[in-house]
Amino acid sequence: MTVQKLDTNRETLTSNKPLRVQVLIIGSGAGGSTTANVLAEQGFEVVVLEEGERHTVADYGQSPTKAMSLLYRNRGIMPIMGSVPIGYVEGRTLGGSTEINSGFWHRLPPEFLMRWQARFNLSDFTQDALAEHFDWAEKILSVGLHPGPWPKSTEVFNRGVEAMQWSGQEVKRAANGCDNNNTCSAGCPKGARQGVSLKLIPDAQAKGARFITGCKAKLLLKSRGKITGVLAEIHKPDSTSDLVRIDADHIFVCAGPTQTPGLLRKSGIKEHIGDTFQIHPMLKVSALFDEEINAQHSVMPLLQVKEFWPDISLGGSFFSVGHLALNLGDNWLANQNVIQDYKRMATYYVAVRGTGRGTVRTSPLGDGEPVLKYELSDVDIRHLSQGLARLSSLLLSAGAKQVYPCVQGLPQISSELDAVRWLDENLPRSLLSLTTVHAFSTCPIGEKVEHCAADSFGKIHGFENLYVNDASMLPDSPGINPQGTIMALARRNALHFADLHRGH
Amino acid sequence: MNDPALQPENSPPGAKGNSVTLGRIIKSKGTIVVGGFIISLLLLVMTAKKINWQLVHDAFASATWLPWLPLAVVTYLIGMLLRGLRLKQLVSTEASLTVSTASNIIAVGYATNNILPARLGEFARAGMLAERTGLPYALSLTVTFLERLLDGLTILSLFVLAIFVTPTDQWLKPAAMVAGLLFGCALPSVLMLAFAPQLSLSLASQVSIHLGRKWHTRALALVTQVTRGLSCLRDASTALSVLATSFVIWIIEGLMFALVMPCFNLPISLVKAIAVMAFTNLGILVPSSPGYIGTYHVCCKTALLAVTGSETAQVTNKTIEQAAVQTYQLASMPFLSNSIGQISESTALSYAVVVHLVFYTTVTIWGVIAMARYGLELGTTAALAWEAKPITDLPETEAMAVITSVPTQKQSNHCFKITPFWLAIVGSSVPTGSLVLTAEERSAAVTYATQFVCSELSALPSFLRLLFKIGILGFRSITIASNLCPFENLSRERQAKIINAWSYGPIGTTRKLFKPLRSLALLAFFEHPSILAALNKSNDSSEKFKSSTNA
Repeated sequence: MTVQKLDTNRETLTSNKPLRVQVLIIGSGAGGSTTANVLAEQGFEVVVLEEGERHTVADYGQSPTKAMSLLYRNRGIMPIMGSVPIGYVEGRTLGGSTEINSGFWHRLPPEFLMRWQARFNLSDFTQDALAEHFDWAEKILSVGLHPGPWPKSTEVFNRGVEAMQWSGQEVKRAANGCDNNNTCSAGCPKGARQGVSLKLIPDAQAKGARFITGCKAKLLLKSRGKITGVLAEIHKPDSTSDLVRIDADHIFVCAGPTQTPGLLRKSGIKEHIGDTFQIHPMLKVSALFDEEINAQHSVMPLLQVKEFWPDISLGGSFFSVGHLALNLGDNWLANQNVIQDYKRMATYYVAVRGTGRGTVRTSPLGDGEPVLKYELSDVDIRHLSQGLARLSSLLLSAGAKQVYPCVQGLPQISSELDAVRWLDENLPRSLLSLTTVHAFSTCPIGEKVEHCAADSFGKIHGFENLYVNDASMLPDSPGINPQGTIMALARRNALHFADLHRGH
Repeated sequence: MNDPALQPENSPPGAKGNSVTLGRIIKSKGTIVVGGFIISLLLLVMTAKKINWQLVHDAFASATWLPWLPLAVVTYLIGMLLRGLRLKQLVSTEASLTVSTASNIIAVGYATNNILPARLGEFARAGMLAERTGLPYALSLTVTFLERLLDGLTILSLFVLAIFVTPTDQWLKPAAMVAGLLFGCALPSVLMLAFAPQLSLSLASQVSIHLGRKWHTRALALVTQVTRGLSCLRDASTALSVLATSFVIWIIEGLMFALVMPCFNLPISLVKAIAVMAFTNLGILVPSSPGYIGTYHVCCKTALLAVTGSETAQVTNKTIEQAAVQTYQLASMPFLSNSIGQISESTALSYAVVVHLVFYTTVTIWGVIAMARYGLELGTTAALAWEAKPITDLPETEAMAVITSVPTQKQSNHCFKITPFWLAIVGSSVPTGSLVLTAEERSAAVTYATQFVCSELSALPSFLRLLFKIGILGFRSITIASNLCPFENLSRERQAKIINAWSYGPIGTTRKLFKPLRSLALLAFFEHPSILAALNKSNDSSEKFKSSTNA
């Protein structure tokens, strides 16, 4: 059989010719695009399947409601079920969630490196070993501090940090040309926030990697401990979909923390897959100040309070009038007047390092969508309560007249005395409105086969040629924005793969 | 690419019509066609040998045609219209089709089956459906397949029910049990294919991957096509209406069988007629000549004898009737009677001939008229059948990349559609009196928010969508029960009161149900340009805003 090199043009893909690729990557987010870039550079034939479409910056920056339908998975409605349903969003576009996140950047703190190494027996997992990968990612995404003066929402937050004498820091971002247009969550129309579609993917393409968009992997085909290919559905412009089969020597599943375990489980690969779903539960708080903040016209607050890290982080959140209404919605009857003062308001968050138990399973119905479950632990509730007390105190110290938490039945906090109450009491679990944008750990890596789905470099245990290389591989919740860690680990794993398979 | 499913969507069906000959079709399905003719012939010969033709002649001579025969024809016509209605329901989310056009399409399919061999009418029907609606062939084929599947399941269930209700020959009971078993196996499979397409694909892959690439590809293509065709059943209201219509169609067909009974002095029995109808329609699944000649007659005759003629049936019929009369002091009701006197084979055959004629003549005439109306000729119909051949004829290239091609489900097929109910829900979830808005501005913002809410809810994962639908059904039912009026017809104040009670009340479940609704409605409402403009205005005069809100 003559093997034809895969042409990823959709028209030619749907031909009746034999197709086989050396490395097939499913997903083009932080993990997938890094893997594609590295392996293409190393001389591998790389094809990337991306379920979302390719968009340009011209498509970015639309209203939140339009962006949700254009760039988000399930149009931005992906609840995590549990006694407290948690709103979760992730990207579904070329570049994945990196196209719609804030671009905040952290390196994995040393204490987590050590803890993970000890708990999961990770090989070659030291600060020194990872440093070069963080350096690489930071260079390619131009990670740095905010180029201009701080926006007002950051200034007032900083005022609170200083008043409380807490440790806080401006977080580096992958957004070197940010001009405060407040469109991070809708894709940056100026191309300032560095989603991977801006540089990393074009760079990978220049090195020979090919990206097929509008192509959803439906099933991995396996035979005797080996993955032989992928069944995928390609949406065509003529309102039809082709079910295609693509054979591959090696397959990297980088579809994100929910879709990667979903695809593996649908394909009958279940050992430690989706059993340890972790998130950073987040409670949003809006604050009303005397002065104009105009948060609707500026980038989200850039500081994070690390005084209570790793268990509790305080920081700033995306703001629009619609989102403010949504956040006030838990106590709308009491707070509906407040929205007229939206120019004097900003939104902040309490995020906790989740310690609850979560799972990702696939629904037997429909297309086998992942079913996300997470049960908040008592510790999570404690941390959220304390975090609300701390954040409210900070905002009131910064001059906020009122603080409006997303807790039903708690319409506002007007004094520090009201705030510190939650240092001792727990917020009522069933009345919380929580969200999250950080999810991971659904296919943890490590040599402890009794806990881990994949080895230290992402190769799924029991399979010769199947790898995970995205947020799902993080063995535990890192307590920080995870994009940096994902990209660094993805590069490390891809280079390890290249060393093993180069010349084969 | 030989596969019609992969042909360009806009290539006109029947374009190759003139070049397609009957011979080509017969050649492609030669075994089935020849086998069908042989079976029909054998059955005809066997029947002819046993029949006393003088008795048949006498039966016809003494038959009472009026008013029963015209009534039977009318009943059959009603059944055809209902089939059209069902086809309209099945394609309602994909294309607009009138009941009359849909009935014509079905009539053309039936007529083609009556004229051409090997059930090519099914393919002609799919081809014509594609041509009339603009649907891709692949989808038309799967819709046709779905219709036949629904027919099969309905007939099986009616057969089992009828046989266990009415006394029959002993041999029919095991037949009914086999039919019940088939039904029991087919129903879960259909449900799985309809509601769990990914699971079906995974299972098909796991089972067929060991059979080699060719069969693996075929199995995956078949499952993909079928699940796409069945996708319309995922909407509960469509599924229920389609299912209900299917039962009515076949009960009406049974009524047609019942109305022929009095022609031969047999009392009308709907139950027995349904049993005969079901057995006959299951019997003609066996390959036969065009129009099922021979097969139809033998099945119909045998079934009629089985439900009327045996000693067991006679004894049981009498016993039941006597018991009913003694117990309830009722004269037996002729229409639902279980009792039909023992009849001869000749009468049964005469009955079968008349039933067949009613069905055959009516639908063939209708089909030919429809063909004439749409300017179709038999050759073109054959061409439609050829063009719309199913996926079993996929090319056999071993390393083919494309397994199959199906129409993408329309994005506009939202499960939650903008209705007065949803407009009222969203309108009650956002402020109305506080902002200075014209009625048009408010209406535009509420409509925009409702559109957003409906499309977002439609994007929920399927299991959550189901839970949500159940919750909303509960809300609507409780609202109607407590207000004796649908939610959307209540006053705005009453609507707001109900929404607030459900959104902020003490019951966690109702709060959870309304939280996503409220959140989405608020988000979209306050992103609408008219609301943002109004907020900007009111920002300049916030005191005015506050006082109006308080008021």
